[in-house]
Amino acid sequence: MSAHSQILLTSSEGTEFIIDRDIADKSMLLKCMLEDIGEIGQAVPLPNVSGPILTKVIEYCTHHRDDPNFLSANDDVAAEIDEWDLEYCKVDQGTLYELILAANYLDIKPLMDLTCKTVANMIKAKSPEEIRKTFNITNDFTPEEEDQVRRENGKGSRRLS
Amino acid sequence: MAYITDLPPEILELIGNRLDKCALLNVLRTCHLFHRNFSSDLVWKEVTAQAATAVAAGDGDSLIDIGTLHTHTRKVQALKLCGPLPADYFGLSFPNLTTLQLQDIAVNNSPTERDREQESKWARVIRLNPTICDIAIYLRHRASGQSTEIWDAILEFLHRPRQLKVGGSSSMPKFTVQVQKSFWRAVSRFEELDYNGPVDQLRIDPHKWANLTGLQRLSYKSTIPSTYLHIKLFEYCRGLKRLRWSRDAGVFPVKELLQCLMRSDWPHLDDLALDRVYQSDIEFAPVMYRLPPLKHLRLDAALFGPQCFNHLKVRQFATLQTLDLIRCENFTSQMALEVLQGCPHLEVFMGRQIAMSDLISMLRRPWVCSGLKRLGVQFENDLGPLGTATDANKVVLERLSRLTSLEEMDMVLNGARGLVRSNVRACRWRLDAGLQQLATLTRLRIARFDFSVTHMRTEDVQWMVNHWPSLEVLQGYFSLDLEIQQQANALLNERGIRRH
Repeated sequence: MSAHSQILLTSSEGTEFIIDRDIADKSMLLKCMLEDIGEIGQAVPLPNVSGPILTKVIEYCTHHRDDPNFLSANDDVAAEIDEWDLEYCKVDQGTLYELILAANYLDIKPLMDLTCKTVANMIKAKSPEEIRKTFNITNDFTPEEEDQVRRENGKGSRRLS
Repeated sequence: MAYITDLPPEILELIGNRLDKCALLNVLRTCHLFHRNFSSDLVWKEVTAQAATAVAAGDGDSLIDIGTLHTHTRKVQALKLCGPLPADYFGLSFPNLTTLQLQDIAVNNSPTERDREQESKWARVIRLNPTICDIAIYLRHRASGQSTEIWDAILEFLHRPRQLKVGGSSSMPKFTVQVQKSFWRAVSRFEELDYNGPVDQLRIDPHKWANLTGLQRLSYKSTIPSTYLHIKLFEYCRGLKRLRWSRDAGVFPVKELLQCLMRSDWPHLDDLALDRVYQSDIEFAPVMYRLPPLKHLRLDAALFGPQCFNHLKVRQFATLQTLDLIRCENFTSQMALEVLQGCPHLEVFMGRQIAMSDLISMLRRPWVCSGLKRLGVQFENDLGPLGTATDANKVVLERLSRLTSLEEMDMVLNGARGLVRSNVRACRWRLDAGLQQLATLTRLRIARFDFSVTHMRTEDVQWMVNHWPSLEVLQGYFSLDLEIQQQANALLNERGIRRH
């Protein structure tokens, strides 16, 4: 198997993408698939991923192509996001969630980490009302329920944070 | 268009795992869906139940609800019970509990029935939770600690005890002889004891009651000057890897310590911290000579001098990873440079000052400590006003620029028991004095500069912010000029870099 071989992917709309094998290997789903069945020369259909999102995913994998720590990327929750990644995640919320779903489906752990962390950062340091506003969520708690939620977490749990 | 509510629960959980507790609690309060799906495990991982009397006035939050706590017992890994809580709180079993903290509150009355009850409650929660590894007990009440119940529960019920912390306030009780026996027997089951109390619980010779050879890490701090008994205690702990000993009073028992070292009482010791050694250089030097090769050494010895340093150099340089001599007032600039030139494994070095003139005259030998992560020294400009010393300043910064693993830089001389020497001219952290060489310090997280004004300009601070990508804290007075100080603060604010 040549290191420079290429793989054909089709997005949900049927758009075809030709990518290098080492880029495809960033996705555990594709890597396992290609290892199992070999390169059959046919397009791999990705019915859960749209063209624009696939473009975005490929952009990520290409940027991190030679990243030696790609798969061992740590789970360090507090680690800083680097500048390129930060810029990469400056997309509208819809795109961000679709990226998460695509990263989950294609099994690209570092992209999953990055996008989840980005959402987490959108939540941090906000009040419940601000969170609702940010994510366009309706408060469906009754006042009694709200009180209950507040109570069940007690005092110390917040103090510890 | 996807919404956050379209994400499946397992992904919401992944996001939840990346939130701190405070943020997570706020998310749980937003709506039903989030309340159901965001992982609430984290919320229950650490729980504090604090009695109302212990809560500051005006704090509207209530005590955690016992019924709710009951439904989440599986998730709780760390529990803190504080103050005179109702008995129910001590009657729960948490199958995954590993850490327990028990704390009473200071009351100045005589022992009452309630106090004795409190100790029974504490013993009960220990008996119900044999999975506890780490346990911390803070006695603030002079009437508490008079029963053996807690210690007996630890001795008999815990499966794998690891760390025991015992501390108290000035009203902490002196254990009765009976309690001391139980205490030391309980201690014998742990790997680590951290004792920090004003009262010495060492009136009995513990080895008669307990075999302490399993203890690997011991921190012992007590204000009572019965240092001879302390050494007696340490002697029996033959498994010690780490010993941290501090006393507020009493003569340092050099002779007894030396005997232990000569008998090689601690064959595994590689981490040692000793406080308040007031012996002269010559008197203390035999101890330095007898120390086993250490990885970590912290010494507070006011008269540490050339004799002690010589033994340090010959016997310890090859192994040291941490060296903290910040409180050794006679630790000289040349000695500090020798450490940097001679300790290849050094990761943390807290020294005192390095004079530019010494650095220039000892320039031929390179610094070998390329893995240094934390450096605490003050670079002093003893070569005259800045104009004449700029070249030397550049040399200092060039040397520093090679420490590419550096994460923390304490360029503050504050070790001398809080005194700051204000008559010393500090190294300049300015672009016109070679600052740009430090662009190699990409891992630097914390930089602290001396309290004397450092005469930086806005562009110098700007440069630091731009070139140190990992920077979290930048501390110091940048300039006497209020405008520069304000501009610098604004810059740091903008990047989320803290001043302290």
